[in-house]
Amino acid sequence: MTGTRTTVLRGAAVLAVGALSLSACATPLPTPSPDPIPAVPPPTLTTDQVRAVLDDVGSTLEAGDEALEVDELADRFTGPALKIRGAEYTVNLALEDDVDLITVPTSERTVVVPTTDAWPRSVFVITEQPEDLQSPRLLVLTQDAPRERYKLWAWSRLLPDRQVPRTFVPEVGSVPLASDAEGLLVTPAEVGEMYADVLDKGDDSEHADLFGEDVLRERIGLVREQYERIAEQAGGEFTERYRPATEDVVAVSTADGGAIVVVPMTTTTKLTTDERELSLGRAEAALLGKRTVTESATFTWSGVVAFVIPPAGGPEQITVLAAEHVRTAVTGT
Amino acid sequence: MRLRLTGAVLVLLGLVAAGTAVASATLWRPADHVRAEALASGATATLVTQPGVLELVADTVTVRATAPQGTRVVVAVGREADVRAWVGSDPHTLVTGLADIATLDTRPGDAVEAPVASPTPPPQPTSTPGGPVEPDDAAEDTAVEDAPGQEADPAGSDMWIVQAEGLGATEISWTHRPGRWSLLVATTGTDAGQPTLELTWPREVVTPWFRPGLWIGCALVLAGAAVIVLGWRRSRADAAEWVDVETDAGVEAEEVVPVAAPEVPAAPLTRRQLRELEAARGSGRAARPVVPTVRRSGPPPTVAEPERPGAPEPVEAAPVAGPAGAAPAPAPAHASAPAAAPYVPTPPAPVEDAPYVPAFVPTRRGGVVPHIPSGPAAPARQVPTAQSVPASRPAPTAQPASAPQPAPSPQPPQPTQPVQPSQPAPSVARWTPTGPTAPAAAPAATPVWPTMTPATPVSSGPPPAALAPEPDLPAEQSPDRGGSAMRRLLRRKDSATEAAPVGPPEEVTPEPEPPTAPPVEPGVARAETAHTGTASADAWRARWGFVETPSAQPDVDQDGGER
Repeated sequence: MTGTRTTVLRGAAVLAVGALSLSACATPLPTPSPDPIPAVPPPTLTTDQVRAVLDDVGSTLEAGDEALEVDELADRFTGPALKIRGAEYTVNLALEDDVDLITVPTSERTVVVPTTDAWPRSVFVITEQPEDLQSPRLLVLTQDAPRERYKLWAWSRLLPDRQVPRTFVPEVGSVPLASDAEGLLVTPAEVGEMYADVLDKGDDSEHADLFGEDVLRERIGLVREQYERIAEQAGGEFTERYRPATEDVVAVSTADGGAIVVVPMTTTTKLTTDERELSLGRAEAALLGKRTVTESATFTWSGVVAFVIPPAGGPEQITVLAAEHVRTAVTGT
Repeated sequence: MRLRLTGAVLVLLGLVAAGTAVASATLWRPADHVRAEALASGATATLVTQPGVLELVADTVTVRATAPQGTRVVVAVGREADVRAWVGSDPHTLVTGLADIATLDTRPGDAVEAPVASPTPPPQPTSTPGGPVEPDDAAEDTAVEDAPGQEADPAGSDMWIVQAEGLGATEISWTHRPGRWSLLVATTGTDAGQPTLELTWPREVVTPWFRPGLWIGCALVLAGAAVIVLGWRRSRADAAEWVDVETDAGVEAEEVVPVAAPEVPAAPLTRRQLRELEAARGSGRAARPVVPTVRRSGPPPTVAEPERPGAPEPVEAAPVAGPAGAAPAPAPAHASAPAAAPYVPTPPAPVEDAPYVPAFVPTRRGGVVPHIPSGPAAPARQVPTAQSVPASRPAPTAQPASAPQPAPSPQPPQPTQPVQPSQPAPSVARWTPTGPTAPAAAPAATPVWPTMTPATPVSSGPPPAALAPEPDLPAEQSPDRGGSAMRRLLRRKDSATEAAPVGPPEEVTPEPEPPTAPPVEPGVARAETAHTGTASADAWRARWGFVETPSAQPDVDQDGGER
């Protein structure tokens, strides 16, 4: 029976070899092979995502404008944008007649997407020109934290004859800049104070040459003259202060190494009177809640100013690209 | 038998191979997708995949997430950094890859703090204090947002490329794009359960074994069928060619056991071989080589009665002048001598027990063809004749046709009379029993030519040689001749001791005239005396003329080889 046993053993060996070879044929388990971590973080959003966000902002704004209810905007609005729109609603509700709200188009023409893995994140959008042929808007959408949504933080109107600097396409993304970023003519943190000084002192400011003329400064000057006249008529005092929110500066680099810097700015205008009653305009009265003040009235303007800061060693002038300046609060007695 | 068995095995193997091949492409066809699951471990309500997991198997993946009890479940795909930042310090389960082909590998995820660009003062809602936000603040904010026991809702985040939500289950499809992407699965609600993630990738199914397996299987089946047919034909051919020899049942029933081992399998000739054989006979040349076989599977040989003219009578101890007889006497040393002896007229007497003793003619290839004498003196086709090769070979080489003539002349005349083997003539007897299938394996029934080795061509036209075992040759035969075949033969003989023919020779009588003479069965008369062991075997061999002539052999072989 040795032969039989040998045969059995041989058969077993053949089976074993067969099984082994079959198992060797089995496909090895695939292992994850992700793309390498890029040296530069990818853009935070795709163009489609930006468009989706803008659409949602637009619909939210539409809903808020319809209801004139600022709470409707909370989901997609924040910062100066929310404050300005809220003031508009207040005025509109008080006046009980339609007052044109500031047009905020949400269809993008140019999108500047930051490349970062950190928060907060800011997306810059140049909108299409509104139908009423107003100037296009520069929108700034920010995401403060990973679980936050992108919210419209500010909009500003492009000033006439301003050229938006070239930026990288969204697929590439643009590098966000810190407020103390180097390599610029001035840092983003400084530009607000400098411009405020120019607004305050006019051509006497040491930075006047840095900015040149712009429509915002011109308009602010016109308004100030009016108030000064009123204050003069009322026998009171007139003061106006410009306070850039330096800590909230948002900046992104441009293709030429410069930066677009958006600085929130609050303007406070105070009028005093010598016991004479001061009658306010309808809108101001709506914000104040009464039509006249007898001692003083303080007007608060909210808005943002967008600067284009050239890179160091480039042109020696900062451009005011866009701005918004809206009276958002009135106090007085 | 062995052929057919082999054929059957081949067919079986072929069927198995073909079946396996087909099954591999159908029954066992690998799924056209890979589906792997993962369950959020512990009490985490969030699953996160590492980059690369989504495109683990294919670029397109279907993500299906389920949650127990219809809990709201959200799935989303976003950048790795975004997903990790979103999850933050929440407990979550990280999917790292495949544990096996149906299970995703998971491990508890590490808490990740949302990175904050510290130098940049983020724009803050006016309601919040200004200033740079510290990472801790961010974490706190995140934590505060989550009410205790309520998982945050990833749905609605602007960061996701693809997202979906559903109650109990939801599904998305994701196609890989450049970058590092992670999947986020989260259940929401106060009693959020553990979500289950199921990733399904399409997979191109290949059946590499189908075609080769099918071909091999078919080839095996065909080969097996061919072998079976071959075996069948041989058996048929044998049945047709060889006349059964029947022992005289009336006489010594017990001893009627055929000399040859009863269970010797036989490899029959194919028809083609038979045809060729005939042709060869006609031309005096040997046909194709054939494995000498004697079909022994059937009942003991029976004598075809009709052919036997007279009442068969066992020829007892009647010395049959076999070819051997011729060899020894006429021309022991001469090649042609055997020719004279080949014809051993068979007495009509019945030959019992006689195993088939076909005449085998070694051919050039070394095969052995049952020989049918072609010469004038050739016996009837059906007469199995054993030829004394050694004797006949030399002659055939020279003149195949003529060779038979000289010798046969004397012998053939006495068809009815057994030829008396004059002497054991060891020199002539070169017969050795042969196995049915191979020359080497020698069942007792078949005589094997010593020259059957491949190296020795054999003349085709030797005169029919009657094989007449020598009455008393046993002692001289050397069992070693046949090698293992011989040993087997001996064993068989032992087992069939009683059956072993004893000294008395039987006459195998080829018919002198092929055309006219009816086939005569070689018969072997039973020997009364029982011999044991080698003695009986030797006796058997002697009886069949298997007497070797050591001296004569070499020459014969060489001659044949040259030819």
